[in-house]
Formats: sequence, C-alpha cells, structure tokens
Amino acid sequence: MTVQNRSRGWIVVVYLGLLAFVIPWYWPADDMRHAYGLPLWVIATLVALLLTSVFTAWVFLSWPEDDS
Amino acid sequence: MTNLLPFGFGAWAFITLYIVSLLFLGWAGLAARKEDTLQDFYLGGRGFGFSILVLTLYATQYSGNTLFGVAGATYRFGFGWLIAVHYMLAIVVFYLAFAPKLHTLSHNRGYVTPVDYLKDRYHSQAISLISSIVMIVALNNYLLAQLMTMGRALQGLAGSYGDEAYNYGVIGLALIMLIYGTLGGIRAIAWTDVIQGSVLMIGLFVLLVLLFNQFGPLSDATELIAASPDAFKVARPASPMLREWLSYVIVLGMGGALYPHAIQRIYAARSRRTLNRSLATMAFFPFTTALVAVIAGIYALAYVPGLEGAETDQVLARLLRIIQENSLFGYAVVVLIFSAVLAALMSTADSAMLSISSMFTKDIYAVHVNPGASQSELTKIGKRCSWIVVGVLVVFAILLKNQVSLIALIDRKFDVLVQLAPAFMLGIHMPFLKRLPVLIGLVAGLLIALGLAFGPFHFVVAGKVWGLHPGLYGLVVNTVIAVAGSTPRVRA
Repeated sequence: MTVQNRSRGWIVVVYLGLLAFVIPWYWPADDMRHAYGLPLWVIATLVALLLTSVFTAWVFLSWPEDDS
Repeated sequence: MTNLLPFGFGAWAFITLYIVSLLFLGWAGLAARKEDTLQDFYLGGRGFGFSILVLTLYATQYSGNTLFGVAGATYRFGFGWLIAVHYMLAIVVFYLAFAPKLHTLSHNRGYVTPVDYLKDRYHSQAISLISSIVMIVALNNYLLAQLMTMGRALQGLAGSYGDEAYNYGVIGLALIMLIYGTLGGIRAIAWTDVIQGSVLMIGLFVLLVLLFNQFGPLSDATELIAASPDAFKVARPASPMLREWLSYVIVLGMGGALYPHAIQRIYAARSRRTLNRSLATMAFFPFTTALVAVIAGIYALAYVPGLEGAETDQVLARLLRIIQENSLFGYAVVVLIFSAVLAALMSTADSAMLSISSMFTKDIYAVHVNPGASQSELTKIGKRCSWIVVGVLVVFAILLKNQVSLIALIDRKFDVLVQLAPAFMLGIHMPFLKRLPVLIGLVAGLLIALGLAFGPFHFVVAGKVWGLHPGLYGLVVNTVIAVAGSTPRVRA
C-alpha cells in the first residue's frame, strides 16, 4: 500500500467514524422503536462503527512489513 | 476476607489459585531475564509476538473503568453511553496515525519510554520534562482509579461489610501486583496479561449469557425502561450529550492512544507486521467488551433502579449479586466473572505501575538526579519507585473511597494527556514542526485545560464547557500554536 493510499484509507476510516456520530445527531429525538432490545438508532450507529472497525483492520493489514 | 464476603471456600480457592498463578509468572519473568537493563525489564527485549502482544494490549486497554465505569455511566445516561464503543474504537484509529512509524523509530533508535521519542525528535529538556510529568500524573490518576475499582468490586459484593472489604481488597491486590510486577518486569506483566485477557474475554461472554438467562431478553429490559420515568434513556441523546459524544471520541481516542504503557507495548512488538496484526485485531474488541458493559448497564437500569451518584459505579456488582443468589450455577459463574473483573483491574494497574516507574527512572532520575547511574542501579530504582507510588496511591484510594466517580477521574486524566498529541502525532509526520512552538503550544494547552477544569468559572458545567472537555479547547490552541509557529514564513 502506497503512502497516498494509506492516507486515503485513514481519511475513509475517519469519515466512517464521523458517520457513526452523525447518525444519532440526525435521528428523530422521539423515536423509541427498538429491535432485539436495541433502539434502532443504536443498531444504525453500531453498523457504522463495525464498518469503521473493518476498514481500520484492513488498512493495518495492508501495511507493508518494511518501508522507508 | 472469607468471613466478609458471601463467597464460599471453593470460590476463594479458585480466586486464590488464579492469584498464585500471577505470582508464579512473576517468578518465571525473573527467571527469563536476559540482562539487568531497563530495556530488558521494561520492554522484554522487544520480542513480543502476536498472541502475547494482542492480549497484553487488550488486557491493558480494557480496564476496571471499562467494566464498572461504562456500566455505571450507561445506568446514568442510558443507551447514549454507546459513546464507550466509539471512543474505544477511536483509540485504535488514532494508532493508525502514528504507531507503525513510531515502532520502526523505536527499534532503530532504542527508545524505552515514550519521552525518549520526544527527546530524539525535539532535543528539548523542557518538552521532555513537562511530558514526563504529564504522563506520570495521568497514569497515577489511572492507577488510583484501578485501585478504587478493586475496592468497589469487593464492596459491592460484601453487603454491610463493604468498607472493610474495600480496604482489604485495595491493600491485598496492590501487594500481589507489586510482587509479580517488580519480580518479572514487563515479561511477567505481559504473561499475566495473557491469563487476564483470556479470563476477561471468557468472563464477559459468560456475563452476557447469564444476564439473558437471569433477566430474560434485552428487549424486555428495554421495554421496562421505556415504560419507566427513565424512558428518555432509550431515545437518542439530546444535543448537549451529542456534543459530549464528539468530545469523548476525540479526547479519549487521542489520549488513550497516548497511554505511556500502550506506547511501550508498541516498542515491545517483535516486528511491524506483528504490531499491525495486533492493532487490526484490537479494532474489533470494542464490540466484545465495551458493548457488553453497556448492555450490563441497561439490564441494571431496568432491574436495579433507584441508584444515584457514586453508587452507580457498582451496578455491575449489584447484578452479579442477584445472579449469584439465584442458583448454584449462577454462584459458580459469578466467581469466574469476579475473577475476570479482578483480571481487568490488575492487568491495567500493573502496566500503569511499571510505566510510571520506567518514566520516573529513565526520564527524571537518570537525567536530573543521577546521570551516571548504571543500568542495574536504574532497574533497582525503578522497582523501589513502584513500591512507593503504589503505597501512596493505596492510601489515597482508601481516603477517597466514597467521593469520586470513576468517569470524573477518567475525564481529568485525558484532558492533560491529549495535550501531547501534537508533539507525538503531528511531530512524527511533520518534519517542519519546531521545538519552541511545540513547547509553547503544550504549555498553553495544559494551562487552558487545567484552568477550565479547576477554575471557578460559572460556564463550566459538570467539568465541561458547552458539553466539550476542557482538554479539547486546550488541544485546539495547542495545535494552532505548534503548527502556525513552525510554518515557514514566505518573504514578500
């Protein structure tokens, strides 16, 4: 993975992390619906966080063993 | 202690066996020592492989605060404390910004403490000394929180003997930690982390199963809360708390990535590949750990209502007590979970203890007190430092037992720790960053963070300004000074 792609990877990770913050911000304040015990806004936020985790792991694993 | 707690002989035999295994690993760490140097004692000769590194990072990052503090905060704020999953993940994301490069530098330049990097990068005694003090103070705060949680873990199970159980728990567990930590150094601590990390993972999984078994599905708990006066804790947080959310993600994410004991684990990784695989794995642990603590807090909110203040930090212990009294199986499994709680506390506390002693020894004693000291002498000083620091903090933990919320303790620590972010995270990527602007930025950031946190300002509510950590305001000013002051001016 080149330095440029790594920077892009980090930016995508940050955007996904921000998405996990923006979801509850714009979710209707009076929405009490839930599924499997988790409010819907929690499920949506957890999905965004899981995507952030997957992408973070991918950037780490794509890093070369040694580069100058 | 057996007379105080409603644990039987078998339960204490299991916990004693677990603790004896830690002491054995302390002795094994001493036997495995290759040389009497700081690098061997504090970094284990930089030879940590994947399984040891990932479990020691896990056991160190997920502390007593994660379990008790997050469960307690969820009890107070409801599902909004999903913040905890986000900020634990943010720590790994911020590692992405500097850990691999710092690892390579540490192996090439022989760093032992986090401040070694700052010395090498800025050649400034002032930056090094201030950073050492910030890290030592922050870690002392962290170690104090772990010791207090050890006491509260026992206090919550001990009924009317809570105070005595708290005192004996803090003293006893601190003593055990000191023995194995000063015997075997980082090797003993990393090996105990493997046991503690494994027990913690299994314990949390079992806790989740037990909660479902004891109280029914999570949907029942959520419906119970939705029909109670706490119904607002099901809906998404209101705007002020959403601002706090963003603040926690930035301040705890950056601050957590700059934990001195975590940075020393970056140094101790055998190779960059080992480090990257470990951090990639760490990206998924918020879901198996912080999220479980949030769910436990929701169950407590539904089935143990009415707790307030510092009492809420004990909701996990209250839940365990209910499960324990219900069946023999529940009782047996609570013993396992209780061991997991002890594991979380001790694995974090021992790492903080070792990191404090390494920084005091190498960054302060060896530089300002006795520059000619040999490696062997410095290692001895480090061990003595551990005993003194933990001894003093045990006294504080007993004196402050009913006065401080765990989350409040965490907040202040990160307010100061995050001020090191520009020097570390920007300094490693921006060769143009100069030492004077970085120093001025660091001092300004610390003054703003501490001034807002402790000053008599009416606009500071619950330790925050407009819902944001004081450390965040300090960080913005700090970063602007460091970058703008270092940017080359273009002559007209």
